[in-house]
Amino acid sequence: MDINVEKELSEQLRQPETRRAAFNRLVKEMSQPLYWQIRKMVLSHDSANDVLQNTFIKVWEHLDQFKGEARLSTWMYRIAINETYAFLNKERTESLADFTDLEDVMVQRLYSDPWFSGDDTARKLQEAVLSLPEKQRLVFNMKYYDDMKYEEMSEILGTSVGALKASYHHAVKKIEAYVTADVF
Amino acid sequence: MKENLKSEDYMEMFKVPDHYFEDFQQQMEKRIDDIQAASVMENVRGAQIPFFQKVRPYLYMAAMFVVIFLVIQGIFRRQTSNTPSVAQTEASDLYEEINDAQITAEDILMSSLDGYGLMYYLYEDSYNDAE
Repeated sequence: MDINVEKELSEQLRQPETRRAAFNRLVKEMSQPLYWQIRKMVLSHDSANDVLQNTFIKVWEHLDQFKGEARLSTWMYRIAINETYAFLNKERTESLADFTDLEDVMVQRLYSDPWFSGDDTARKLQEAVLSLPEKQRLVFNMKYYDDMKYEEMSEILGTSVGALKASYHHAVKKIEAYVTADVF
Repeated sequence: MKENLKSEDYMEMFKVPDHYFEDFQQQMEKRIDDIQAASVMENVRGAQIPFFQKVRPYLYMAAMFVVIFLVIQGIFRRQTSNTPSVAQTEASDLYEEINDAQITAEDILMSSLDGYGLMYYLYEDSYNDAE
C-alpha cells in the first residue's frame, strides 16, 4: 500500500465518523497482500480465508490500540502472522490427537486440493518449505516469493536484520538439500 | 531451485475462486455490520437492566459466604464447648478463691520445699527408720 494512502487511512481510522468507510477501503487495499502472506503458510484456500477474516476482525476490534507508531500495513501484517500461528497451533493440536504430523497432513492435502495446480516439482518444493520451522518458513516466503526487504521484515517480525539473513540462508540450504536428496 | 519464481508464479500455482476478493470485501462489510449491531444491542440491554438486578448475583454470593461462615463458626463452637480442656479445668480450680484463714503453717512449709525437701517431709518416718 502506498505510504501516503496509509497515512490518510490511519488518520481516518482514528476519527469515529470516518472510521467505517476507511476500514472498508483498508479491506480493499490489504486483503490481497495479507491473503497471500497467509496462504503461503497454511496452503489451503479455505484455511487462508478463515484466517484472513479473523485478521480483519482483530484489526477492527483493536483499532483504538493502533497509535500510529508503526506503519498501518506493518501492524496488520503482525496481526495476520499472529492469527496464522494461532491457526497452525490449533491444527497441530488436533493432528497430535490423531497421532499425525501437521506438516504431513498439509502435504497430503495439497494432492487433493482443487485450488492447487502445481506440478510434482512445485509440490516437492512445497514439501521442502513445509519441512522448515514455522518462523523460518515465514522468513523464506517473505524473502523468496515476495522479495521483501530485510528491514521491512525486521519491523514486522521484530527480529534483527542479521538474524533474518542467517535464517534465510539456512532455509535455502535446507530446501536445496531436501529437493536434491530424492534426485540422487 | 528456479531463481525466477516470483509471487505471480506462486499465484498461478495456488489458485483462488473467481471474484473471491470482491466477495470477501462484501463479506467483511456484513460481518462488521453484525459486530456493530451486536455491540449496540449489548449497550442497550445493559442500560435497561435495573440496578438491583445487576447487583443481585453479587448479593446472593455475599449472603452465601456469610451463611458458610456462620455454619463453620457454629460447628467450631459446639466442638470446643463439649470437651473442656484439662488446662481449663485446672485453671478453674486455681481460680477458686482461697481465704487467708484457710492457709495453714503446713501450706507455707510445703510451698518453700524443693524436691528433696518435699520427699523427706512426706516420707519422714521411712528416713528415720533407715537411720
